[in-house]
Amino acid sequence: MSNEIILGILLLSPILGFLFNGFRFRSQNNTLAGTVATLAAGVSFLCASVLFFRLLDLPKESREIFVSYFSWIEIGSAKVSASFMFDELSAVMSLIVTGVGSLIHLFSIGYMAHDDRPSKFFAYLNLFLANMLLLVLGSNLLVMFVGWEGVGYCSYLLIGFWFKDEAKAAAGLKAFITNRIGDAGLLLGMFALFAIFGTFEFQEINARMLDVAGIPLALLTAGTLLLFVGATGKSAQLPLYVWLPDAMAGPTPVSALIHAATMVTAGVYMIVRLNPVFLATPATMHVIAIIGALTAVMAATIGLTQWDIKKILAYSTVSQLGYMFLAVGVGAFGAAIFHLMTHAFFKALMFLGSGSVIHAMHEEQDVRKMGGLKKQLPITHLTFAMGWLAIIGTPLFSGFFSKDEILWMSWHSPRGHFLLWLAGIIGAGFTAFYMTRLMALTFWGKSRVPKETHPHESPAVMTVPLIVLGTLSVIGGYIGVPHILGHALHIPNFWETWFERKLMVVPGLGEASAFEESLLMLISIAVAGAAATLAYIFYIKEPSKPQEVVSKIKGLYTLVYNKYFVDEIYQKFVINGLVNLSKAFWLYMDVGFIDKMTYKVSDFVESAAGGLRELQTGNMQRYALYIVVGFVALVSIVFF
Amino acid sequence: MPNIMNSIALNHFIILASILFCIGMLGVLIRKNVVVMLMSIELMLNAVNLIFVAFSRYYGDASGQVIVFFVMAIAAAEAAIGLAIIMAVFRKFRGVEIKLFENLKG
Repeated sequence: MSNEIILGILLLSPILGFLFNGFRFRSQNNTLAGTVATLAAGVSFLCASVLFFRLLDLPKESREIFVSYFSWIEIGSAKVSASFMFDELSAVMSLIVTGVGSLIHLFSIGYMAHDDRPSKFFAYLNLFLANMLLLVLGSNLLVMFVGWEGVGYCSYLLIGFWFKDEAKAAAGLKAFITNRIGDAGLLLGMFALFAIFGTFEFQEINARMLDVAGIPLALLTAGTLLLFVGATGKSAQLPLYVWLPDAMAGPTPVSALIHAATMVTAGVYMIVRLNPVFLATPATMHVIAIIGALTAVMAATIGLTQWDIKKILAYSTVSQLGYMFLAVGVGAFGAAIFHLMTHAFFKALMFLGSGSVIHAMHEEQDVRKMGGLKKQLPITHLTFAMGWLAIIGTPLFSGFFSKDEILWMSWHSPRGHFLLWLAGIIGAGFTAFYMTRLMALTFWGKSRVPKETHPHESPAVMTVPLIVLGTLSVIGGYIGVPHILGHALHIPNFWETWFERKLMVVPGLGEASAFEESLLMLISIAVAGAAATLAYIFYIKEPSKPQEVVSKIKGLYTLVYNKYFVDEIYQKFVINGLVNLSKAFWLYMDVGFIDKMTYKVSDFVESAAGGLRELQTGNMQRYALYIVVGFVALVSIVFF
Repeated sequence: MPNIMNSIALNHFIILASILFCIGMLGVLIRKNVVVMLMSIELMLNAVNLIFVAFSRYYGDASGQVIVFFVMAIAAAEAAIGLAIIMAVFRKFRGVEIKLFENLKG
């Protein structure tokens, strides 16, 4: 089959799944809906794999499958076509999206078994997948933007899936509105790029960046900063991260798919896609790196104090996304995508694991009411442990390779800085602590499970995705081993050679010194190990210790536990102001002016019509009189 | 015998016919009784007839008088149909006021 057809199937298969389930949304047949949706996702994964192998067959210089289906918009000289590009970057992205997506669809069949609207759920899930594929496969900014908005909309639908609970509906709204703020930035950034380059095509823009002469740097910086605003909204970075923790109101597979593995990484993808443009604007890069590092540390600290299993994972996601932006900011685009991939594996794994736990605990999410679940949920525990080992950076697990690459680059890159590396290391320590805490409180130690709940291991349809993702979390890192290990073990770094053509290297990147690299690696291993051990002592050996520590730093603990009161500050200074402004507009502009004007017009018409109505009473003699009057008037005009 | 017609000028006919026509018109416009209205229409027709005859004689052309016959014939037909409708309405509503005719609306 030709590439056009395979790419078409790749894009359309989830849409067909969406239509199938969407048209029979009242059906309660969970198995049918889930099977169709999973098949749709699976077919997409198959197509992506086929295209990937075809891509491998192509010679390295022209590794690109470009398909243009039709001309979409033509205004004057500006032409935008519905075209898609399957290159090194979108291959990786679409494999992650469809692969992890298929597993999560499969898991959902088990998770949503007791829900009364399964068809609707799977329809939304498929629609999300279709939009995500548009986002990562689109060959120009506009197609990407359609997907970008589409995933935001699906995220809104799925966060508020149980909309009968008002808090959950509000969480959906919060996510949507926060994303709109970012999207406004993204749109403006797109316009800025269009003003400079006169095209929306990624390839043309990136090709133009090879020679920066004649490009207005100030406008370019403004444009990239605005694009980054869009990324902070979608990828939950400071200051727009507030929606992601609340987004945990959605069903857990949704949190795994949208709010951990795929959608939230769209911002990272967009920046990496435009890496030559961002590389040309050092100011933007610094902002990105600083925001990323700050987010990584701050979200990790909040994660230390939370009790809700999904909230801990949500803050962990925000923190890990911060690492990806830190990587992007120091010019380590490959490392960012590498971490994006390993994070997709282990974070989707842990979210699904937490879903399995929540399922077993009958919708209980508070880790204080768990503990000792190792016995009842052996498979979930084992797979979750893989994710845990990966995220805290245990050597030879996937997270170790990707996170270490980021930390190394934040030190080594000319755009990096000692402080950025320090923030990364501190964040890594916190990460190890809160993840170990989560493991200890949930799976280890004494059971605090209430007597009336009897946890049970989930069915195979849920454990199989866990096992697959667990395996990937362990081995997923070997395609990008660090130089120092690679040289020692004679493993080539597939990742770097794969992206060589696509990702530009930061100007002035020096040769790595083996001593430096191994020293930094040892430091990060030591910090993570120490933090994990500390957490183990705190929550298993001496369960009274955390209380003691907390009582010593009461003020700080309250501040962090309440998420630095960011939501409250936003409420007070931003939301209230906006609400008051809107109220003023409503009262004085809408009701007082616009409505009044229309009422005036209608009043005039009504009174005029009242007068005219008197003319046609239906009285025959009156009509005869009009004839006479009219005739007399006519005659007098003619004769006098 | 001196022809009396010769001493009456044309404008006398016109004035008389106009007065008759206006009386008839006012009758149609003002009276509530349909029978009287029908009579008033008759009056208007005859005022027109008078004009026709007067001008016919003035110009010595007989075609005006021919038209008068047509008008009379039509007036007779109109009276016959009108009176029949009035009878029907009277049987149904016990009255001949113009208001009752509004009941004929579809």
